[in-house]
Amino acid sequence: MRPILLPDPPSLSTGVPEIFEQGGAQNVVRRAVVIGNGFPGSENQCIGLVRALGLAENHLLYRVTRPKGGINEWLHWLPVGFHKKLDFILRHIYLYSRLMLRSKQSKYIASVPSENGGNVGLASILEADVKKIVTMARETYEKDGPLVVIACGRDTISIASSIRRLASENVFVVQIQHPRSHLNRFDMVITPRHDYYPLTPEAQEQVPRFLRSWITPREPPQDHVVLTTGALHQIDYASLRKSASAWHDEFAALPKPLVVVNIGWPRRNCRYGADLAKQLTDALLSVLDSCGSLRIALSYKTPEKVSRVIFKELGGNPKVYIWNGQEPNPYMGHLAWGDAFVVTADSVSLISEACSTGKPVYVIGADHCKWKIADFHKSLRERGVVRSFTGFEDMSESWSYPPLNDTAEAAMRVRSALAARGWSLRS
Amino acid sequence: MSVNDFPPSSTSAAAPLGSSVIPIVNKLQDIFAQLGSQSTIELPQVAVVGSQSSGKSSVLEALVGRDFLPRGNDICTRRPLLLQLLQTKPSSDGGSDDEWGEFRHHGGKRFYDFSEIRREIEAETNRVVGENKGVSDQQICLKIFSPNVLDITLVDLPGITKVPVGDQPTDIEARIRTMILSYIKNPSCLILAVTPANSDLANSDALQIAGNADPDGHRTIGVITKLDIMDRGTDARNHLLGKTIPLRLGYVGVVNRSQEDILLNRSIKDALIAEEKFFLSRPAYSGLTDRLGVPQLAKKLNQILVQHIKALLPNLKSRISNALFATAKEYESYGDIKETRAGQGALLLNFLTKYCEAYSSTLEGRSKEMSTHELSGGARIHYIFQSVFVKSLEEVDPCEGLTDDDIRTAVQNATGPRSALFVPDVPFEVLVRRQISRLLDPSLQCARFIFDELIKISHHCMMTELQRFPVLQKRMDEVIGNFLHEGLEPAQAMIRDILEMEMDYINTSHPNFIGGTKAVEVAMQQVKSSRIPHPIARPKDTVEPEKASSSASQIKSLSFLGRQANGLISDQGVLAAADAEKSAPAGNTSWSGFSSIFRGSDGQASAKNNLLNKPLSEATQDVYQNLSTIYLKEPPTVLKSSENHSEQEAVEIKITKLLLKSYYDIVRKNVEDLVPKAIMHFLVNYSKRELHNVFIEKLYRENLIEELLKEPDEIAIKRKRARETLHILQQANRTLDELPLEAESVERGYRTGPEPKHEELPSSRRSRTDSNGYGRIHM
Repeated sequence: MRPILLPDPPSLSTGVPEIFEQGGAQNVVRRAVVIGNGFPGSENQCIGLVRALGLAENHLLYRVTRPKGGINEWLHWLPVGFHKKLDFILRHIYLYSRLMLRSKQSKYIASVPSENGGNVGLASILEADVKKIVTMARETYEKDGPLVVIACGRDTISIASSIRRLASENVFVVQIQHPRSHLNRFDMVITPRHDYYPLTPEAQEQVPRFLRSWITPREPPQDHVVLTTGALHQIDYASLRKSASAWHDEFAALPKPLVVVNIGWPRRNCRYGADLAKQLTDALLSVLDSCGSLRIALSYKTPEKVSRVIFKELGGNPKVYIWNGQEPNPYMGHLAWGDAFVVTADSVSLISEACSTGKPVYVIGADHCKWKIADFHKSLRERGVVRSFTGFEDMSESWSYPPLNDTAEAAMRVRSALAARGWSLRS
Repeated sequence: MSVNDFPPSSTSAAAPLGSSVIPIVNKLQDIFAQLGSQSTIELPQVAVVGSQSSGKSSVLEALVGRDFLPRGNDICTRRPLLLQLLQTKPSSDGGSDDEWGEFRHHGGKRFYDFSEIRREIEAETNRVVGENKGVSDQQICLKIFSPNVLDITLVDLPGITKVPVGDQPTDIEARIRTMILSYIKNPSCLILAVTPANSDLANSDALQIAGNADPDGHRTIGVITKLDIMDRGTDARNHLLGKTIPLRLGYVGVVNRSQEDILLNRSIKDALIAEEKFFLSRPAYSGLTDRLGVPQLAKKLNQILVQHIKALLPNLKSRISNALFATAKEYESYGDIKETRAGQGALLLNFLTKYCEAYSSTLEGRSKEMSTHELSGGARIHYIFQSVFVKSLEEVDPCEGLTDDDIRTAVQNATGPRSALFVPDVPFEVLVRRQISRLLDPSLQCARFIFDELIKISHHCMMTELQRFPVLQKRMDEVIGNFLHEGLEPAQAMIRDILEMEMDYINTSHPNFIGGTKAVEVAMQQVKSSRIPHPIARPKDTVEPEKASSSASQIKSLSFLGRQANGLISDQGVLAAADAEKSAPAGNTSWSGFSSIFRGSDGQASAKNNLLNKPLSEATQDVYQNLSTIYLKEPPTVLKSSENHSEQEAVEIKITKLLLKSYYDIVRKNVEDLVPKAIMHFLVNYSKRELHNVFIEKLYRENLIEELLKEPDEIAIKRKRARETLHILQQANRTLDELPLEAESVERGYRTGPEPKHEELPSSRRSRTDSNGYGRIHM
């Protein structure tokens, strides 16, 4: 059982009222708008930055929803705005055709979720609407100051850039993840360093000359581009502290050292299957002696062929606990209480989060990765932040490194960019 | 609130850290010493972590109250410094008030000058890592001996640095972090996470690395330094209140000495005064006094140390109370000794009474020391009565040792020269008396058993208590032995009487007695029914068929004998012999008697008759009479009953047996019932009733008391030792209970003796303390 934590009572402010600071209310940033694309991985990055800016309690989440299901799965290459219009037309055509033909066959309709889970109830998240956001930014500028817009993912690019175009006086637009082109449409772009890997001579060699001009980015980063080592996230010291106390009852009594294994899923730049799962379980079994306890968390996207091997090899071991997907997700507890981490190489965000703890992080399967992800692993290894997991490690040995601090650094850059425009963040 | 009226510091600087804990620890150490165990209280280590130049060494120094750590604006602590504070005996306790330091790398060399210690630390650092900012994880060990410190280890660690300078390797940060982690990973290490107020707390390296080692935050204290050099208009209220990052043990804000202070050689004490002045001058920090200042940090640490000690206490306490209990019990077992005559008399009387109570309760099964794995006391007596005595009696066969011949002989004897017209009474009475007399021995034996049992019980009573007084024990054993003997005699007499009574009058009118008529009826029926079937056809009834077959064949042979009475002895003999031979395998004893006829009739009896070499039988007489010879053969000296077994005779035997059995059963019931009663009355209960009187009569004599209550020397010695131990333990227990472990008293400082050094500074502070309601630690 997790203890119930009460929020802190509002603090008694003894400082100077902010209107007297730095020239007026409209220069203080008090709120943020997050534009997400519906994927937890990217929205997490935005919220991480919002937290680091100290605006966690005052942000709105909008979402861009790309039509899903049926033919839409083949239309991801379309710009999202166009895709939505197309979807609208298709829907109507389909509806009328069904009315006219009275056809019962309905492959398409079977999977037509409406935007943001059907707009049912209060829980649904607002659909990102350029006009609405721009109006809000303009109308409340006098009272609430400038608006920071943080967007992440390809589908949000057009919305974010439109907002900037229409209300550049009142907003500060931060785009997370490289938008491939037209970087000057944003006030700030935050992207991992390995997104610029294609520009390295090493990468150039791997690509035939005639294709090179098609690969983004085509130019080196400009001043308003913030390069990070990994992904942004919400893990910082404060959140770890909170999770540590929230998960105290479950983890405090576990035998130490507690080794946490986070397993992602194979993707385009890092393919693997049961072979890596077997390699992982073998290595885990051989280090099990030096572990006090071992907890394994599988991602909801982890393929069954991988999870089956893990359950088969380690499922019955008394030292091993495998999270079965039941809420609450112990992920934060793991980060707070783990003494060492083993992470599969595929996930930049999982690795970034583990590496921001400053505790030993071992990566397995880095050799399965190529292109940008391989470059990411290389940079981490060179900084001494991660080590490869071979199965010969002593898990009780604790080593450390400067923890990844991308989110805070990015937030610092945002602060200084805001300051350059004469704005300040409410702290 | 003046800070200028402090008395000038005369002696060495006070050490706020542990000042209030020292007396407690000393007391506990004393207790341990009294318990004779070497185990001492292991206090936690305190380590300071933080980024470079965040003020770690200064915090540590302020805590220790000494001024000996290298400081500067770049990396100063470049090797971990293990600072062991060792308490020495103060001069009041036979030691000296000197304070000195010793380095491990210098062996036993004593440094009395603390600035020399600083130089030595710097020199030693440089010796290993060079002068150019190199960092090493080789620790420097410094021991500080002082009467004013706690036995505690403080660790000063190099600060976390981001950018390598000088000789530092590129991975300097990772190295320092790993080094720090190796110290603070230890679960008994208190972490002081030092963060300067002018940096972002959420990204504090100190808190972050402390969190890695202590996710729970139960041993991390946040220390926020440099409150004095924060941006104008900002303050650290939210940090200190834990609103930015909650921390279980909270935060303490401190203002360390500035570089200028160090250069001007301002003492730590002055710095503490300056610190307090600073906090008082900032309205933002009003109301936070419990989170500000080095003294508060020390207080927090002290509280944690006390908590730590507190955690040890239950264990210690249970150890003491266990020892206390054991010793008290031992002491109790030695009893108390009274010097006065009257006291001794009372003791003896008490003893005797207690003994008798114990004896009675053991008998009644109400003893406190009742056994659960075997029968004891009264239960054993019951067992002897029921399972030994009654059971053996039940198993006795009343006709055991009585053959049909015996009965027949008895019947014939009883009728005298005539032949009986009816079944005679006399053989029954004679036989039944004989059987009843057999019950006497087991009954007496039973009484004896119970007597033994009582002796045993008496030995077990107050065994431990009596060990003290061997003379008394011996005398008591004598008395009780004699007394029980006295009880045994009437019990045995009674048993004899009971049996004599039973033998004296055979009550044939007893309602349970079968009676003559009924017996005849049953016997006739039995004899008749046994005649019809072939004898061997009923093998189940071992006695009856034999008897039946014997009587049947006897009758047959008798009639045979009667017909050929003249001179056909030899033939008859052969025939009879053949008959005997035939029947011999059937094992019928009555045939032997029959065959003996022929032996008696003719000395030259056929060789075949030798098979049956039974003694002569008087039956020959009849045969001789029939032979009508002239002279009578002299009758054999031993005469057996006549062999002419008639049906009548068989019935008579049967009847006698039935009567015997029936009456014997009645007597047996009576004996089974009365003998235990007699034993209980004359022996057991009598002893219970009278023992006390007997004891008093025999032992409670003025002239005997002293002799009886003489104890052996070793007991006296043991008692004395137990009494001493008991006293020590009681003392320790009381001390433990009185330990001032409440926050309030810890805050005030626990002073047992005069501790002038801790007194001098706060004298003026107390007024302030009282005015704002916050207790402050005394330094």
